[in-house]
Amino acid sequence: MTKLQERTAKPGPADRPTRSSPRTAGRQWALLALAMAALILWPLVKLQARVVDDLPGALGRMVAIPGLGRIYLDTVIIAAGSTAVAVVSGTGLAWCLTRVPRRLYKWMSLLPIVPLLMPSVASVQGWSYLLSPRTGIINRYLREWGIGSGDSGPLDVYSMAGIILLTGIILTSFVFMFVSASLRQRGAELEAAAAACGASPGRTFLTVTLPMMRPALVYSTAIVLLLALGQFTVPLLLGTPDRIDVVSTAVYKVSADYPVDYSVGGALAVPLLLVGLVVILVQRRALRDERRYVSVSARSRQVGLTTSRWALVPIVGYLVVAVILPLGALVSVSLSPFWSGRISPSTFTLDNWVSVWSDRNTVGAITTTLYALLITLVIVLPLSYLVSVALLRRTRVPGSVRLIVDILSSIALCMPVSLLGFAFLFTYSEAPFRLYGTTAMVVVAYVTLTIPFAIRPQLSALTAIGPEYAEASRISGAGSLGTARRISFPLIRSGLGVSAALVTIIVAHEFTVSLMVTSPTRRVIGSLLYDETINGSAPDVAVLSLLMLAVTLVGIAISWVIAGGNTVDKI
Amino acid sequence: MKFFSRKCRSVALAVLTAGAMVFTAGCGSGGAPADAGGSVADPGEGGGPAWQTVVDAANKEGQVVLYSNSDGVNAAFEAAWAKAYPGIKLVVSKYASGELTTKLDAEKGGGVVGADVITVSTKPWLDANLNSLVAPTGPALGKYWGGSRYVYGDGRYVLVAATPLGAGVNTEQLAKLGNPPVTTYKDLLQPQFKGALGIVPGTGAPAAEQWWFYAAKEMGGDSAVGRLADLQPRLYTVPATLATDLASGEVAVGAYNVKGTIDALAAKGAPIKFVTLEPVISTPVTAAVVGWAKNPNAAQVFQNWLLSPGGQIALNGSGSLLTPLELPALGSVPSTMRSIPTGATVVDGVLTPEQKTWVTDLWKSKLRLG
Repeated sequence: MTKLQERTAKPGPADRPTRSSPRTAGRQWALLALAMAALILWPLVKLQARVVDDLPGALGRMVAIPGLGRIYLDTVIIAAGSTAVAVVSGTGLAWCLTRVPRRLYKWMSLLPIVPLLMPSVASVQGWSYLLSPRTGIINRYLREWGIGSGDSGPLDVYSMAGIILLTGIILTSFVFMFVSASLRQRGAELEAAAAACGASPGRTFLTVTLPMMRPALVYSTAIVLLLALGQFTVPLLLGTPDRIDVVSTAVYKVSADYPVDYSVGGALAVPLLLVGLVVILVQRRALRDERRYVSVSARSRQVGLTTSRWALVPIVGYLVVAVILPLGALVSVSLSPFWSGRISPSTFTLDNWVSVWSDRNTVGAITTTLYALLITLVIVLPLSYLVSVALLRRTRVPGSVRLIVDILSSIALCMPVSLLGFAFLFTYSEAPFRLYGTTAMVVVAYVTLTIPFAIRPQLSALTAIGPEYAEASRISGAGSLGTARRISFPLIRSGLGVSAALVTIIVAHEFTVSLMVTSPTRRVIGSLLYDETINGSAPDVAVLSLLMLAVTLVGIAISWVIAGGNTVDKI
Repeated sequence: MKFFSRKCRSVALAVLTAGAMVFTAGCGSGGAPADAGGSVADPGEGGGPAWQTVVDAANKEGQVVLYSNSDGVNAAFEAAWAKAYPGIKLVVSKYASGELTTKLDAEKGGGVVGADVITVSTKPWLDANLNSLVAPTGPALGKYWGGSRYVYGDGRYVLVAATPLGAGVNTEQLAKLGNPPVTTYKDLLQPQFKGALGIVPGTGAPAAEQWWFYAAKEMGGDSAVGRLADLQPRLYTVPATLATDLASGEVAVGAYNVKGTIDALAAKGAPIKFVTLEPVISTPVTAAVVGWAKNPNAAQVFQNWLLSPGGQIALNGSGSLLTPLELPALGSVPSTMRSIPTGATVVDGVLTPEQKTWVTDLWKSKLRLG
């Protein structure tokens, strides 16, 4: 069946060039591949060259790292566990959304997206105040209610289970976003038909909904798996007390030693790079013919489906767990003189907020972050659109070029961000770039980091609209630019909005790479937060985490204006 | 019409958000810096016209960038500098030890904007980069540090402070454990502290690893490391996060920690206090001007100030850090200020072969540190 579908998916007459020869088109796309390679591959090549120069020695020193096997095992456990949590809960939430009462649909569709706005560092800090073994607020209540004994537990966020669950919760929104968008775009006619034929909601989900969601599921699973493999914030902040290390944190520790053994750092990350490449190739193979999933509907997603108020419970519950509880804890700590393990409104003060704001670095960092975000958006959105077009099988891009673009566009996802930071630092500090200390260096790093995220929503939207509209435009005499401007952009506007919002979120929340590419005179909110985590008090960290959230909201407002509508709704 | 109204809402939201930020920023800009105290001694005294030329050039540069990993570089320190040289803005960037040297390595070959002055604890980096450091040209080095054993490489780097590391205790939690005494290194090994002890193992910071090497000797030798591991201590990456958990009561006792960090939380009402463990073991705070400074004159003025009584009081006056100079040489100083005691251990961040073996085979192994 698959083979038959593949055969029918071969380019038809409308796919043939109308304005330029295949050779010219191939050269243009090759130029794009070259630009991508210069941007993304060059820092990595420079870094990996250090490994190759000293390969035997690096491998020897790497093997000598105590508990190396445990580090890789923990990386796999955390990646697999959190991906499973995210995919199951994200898909479940997307399905629940199709079943909520119609009048509540719009509001409920927003709720699972809201956690994306919450910086992961803020989420982790919030949950550490809630679930620290001895002083966590929830643990105290549980012990008072007779659940657990002694003066510790019963829950511990600083554990493998805590790290997996929290990482999974943070990544759930990504899965929901892709799956829900896919469900919404495809309408509910097929499910309604299945229901009309007597299929139960469960059977409809398994036999109709799930197969139709395959592109979104494969994309989101791959992205979430790569994010989980390179996860840094949660293991760094929660893994230390219980000695849980993953590859990212191990690389970070290597890079924090003097003299820094870059060869070992690079070698440690090689398995992740290889796994990432395999994931991308598997993803590419699983979705090699996007035409099988084309289905644009003008009907509402919910028409013909049974709805229930019970579907609200998981959605609201997710919002409470992912946002409301940690945010409440953060606000409480930000208003306290110090973190005492208790919420004491009588001691609340605005002193921490005044202190953080009176630091001239804070306003400077926020300004730089917003400025860098704007420039990043201006570069990333057109670039990712071009890449998305190149990745569509129906476009006249030579297969080899497409493969290269595909791998390049995802490769940043395969590398631990801590290692990427050093790669950027060494590449762009030296001649001929010498960008260190400038906003340009921050922007180059952000563009590289965000490209994979900006591509996927646009590619998903392009895949779903099919080639017919663009073909009709070309047959009517419009050129590539005219077709893109008048046909493709309006049709994938929601995808562009999602891309802009995702770039905003990543830039506003980023702190690992920012730490390396920013200088004291050119800080961003992420590097400032890191400084405060290292040197400051819990209330100051809480204030900065909340400011990071505020910056995200400002960024979303900007992307809202750029996209010409409610970005969150479009997500 | 519908699109128009939605657009209006979008713009209004963006404007309101930006306005709120500006308003909040305006509200917060009124915070006054802490009073830094200081010295009446002129840091430029004896410098002559040549030094005045440097000071004038520094004022024209208008800024000096300091990279530091020292807890002594805090708001009070910055305020003292601002009071001494209001025309030269001090930009401070705090890094953990390893990150700081990594950043410096990246900067030194690139001719890029970065540090002008550094205070670090990693002597190996300073020795390896001696030719990239610039000796002070101001008068303070000769006037106050002549013959000092803390001046290295013909003055290219100078030990400007020693940080005595000790323990922090949560008095409420300690009372629940029966108030066991915490005054010596051995006291950290009391069985009551099982599950209630936090440590900063200092991985990646040679000076901190050396501190544990000497602390372990005071605890009773190599076997003490095993007993410490048996207490299942919670690990922390930096003293600041350990101090936070001490304040909340997540742990009852924690080592190592810094007096200034603990005292700052105690001043806010946290039931914690700093305990000086005897004998005192300190880590170094070493200052140097880097050769690639973009503000070379401001860097010289800052280094000269740091070596003068004014800078020494700003850095070490609270007693959280120890000055390498004899107090009488500094004139009038705060009563809290202390010199490095004679015979005290100040680690240098250079692991000997014996210490390297101890760190790898015993410390990291027993405590399961990566």
